[in-house]
Amino acid sequence: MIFRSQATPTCLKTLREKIAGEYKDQLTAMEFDAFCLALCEASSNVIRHAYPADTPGPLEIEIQKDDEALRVWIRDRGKPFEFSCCKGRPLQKVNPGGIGIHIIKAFFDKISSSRSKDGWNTLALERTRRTDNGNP
Amino acid sequence: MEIHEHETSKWTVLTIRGDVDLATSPRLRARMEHLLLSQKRSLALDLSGVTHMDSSGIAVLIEGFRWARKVQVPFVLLSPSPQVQMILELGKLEEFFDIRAQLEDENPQGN
Repeated sequence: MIFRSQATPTCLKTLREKIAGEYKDQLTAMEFDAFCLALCEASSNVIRHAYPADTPGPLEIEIQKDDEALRVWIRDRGKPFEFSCCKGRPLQKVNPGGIGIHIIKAFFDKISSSRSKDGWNTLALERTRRTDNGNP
Repeated sequence: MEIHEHETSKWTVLTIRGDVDLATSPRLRARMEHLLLSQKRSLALDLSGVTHMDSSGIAVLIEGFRWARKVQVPFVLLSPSPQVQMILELGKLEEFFDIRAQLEDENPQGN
């Protein structure tokens, strides 16, 4: 599945509707909700941080699912971004921001970011298929 | 996201339905800020009909908690949906908020 949009807050609902149409029947209800949340958090980061609020740019999301894993690539042409530098807030400190990173890390097993020479940032996310007891 | 508002003898109850995300949470935030900081109302958020809540929604709940504490009024969450429960658990916030099944002065039908 490929989703393309301008990176604006209103695109998140459209994204959720599209992934529900493709993946809701392929995942457990709990796993789908967690996937939806993690994907929207990663997309929200692009919307909030990659572009100036008044000049949003492109957001592309590619999703592939097979017997081994669920893989996602989130691409934008905004500011360079290094996921490994994002720590989020310590969860024992209750502040309004900083839990999105924890949500993404809680769902996906492998996360990496890169930037191409032509100015595209890519956040690559992978969740290994779980067994019936929930383990990878 | 839809916000329905009603009053009981002690509380202003906001019933939230639909998705609370980056696009909709500012509207909820503005309403809560008015009710808590301007009107100093005891505020209950019925979250049973929330179908999606992201970290921007959680941020609004944390702000609401802080506003309520500042003006010394109660602030409670009612019956969070599974989607809200999930993000509260991910953020380790289940113990932070006053979460209830219903208000003491309101029966389950809301009468």
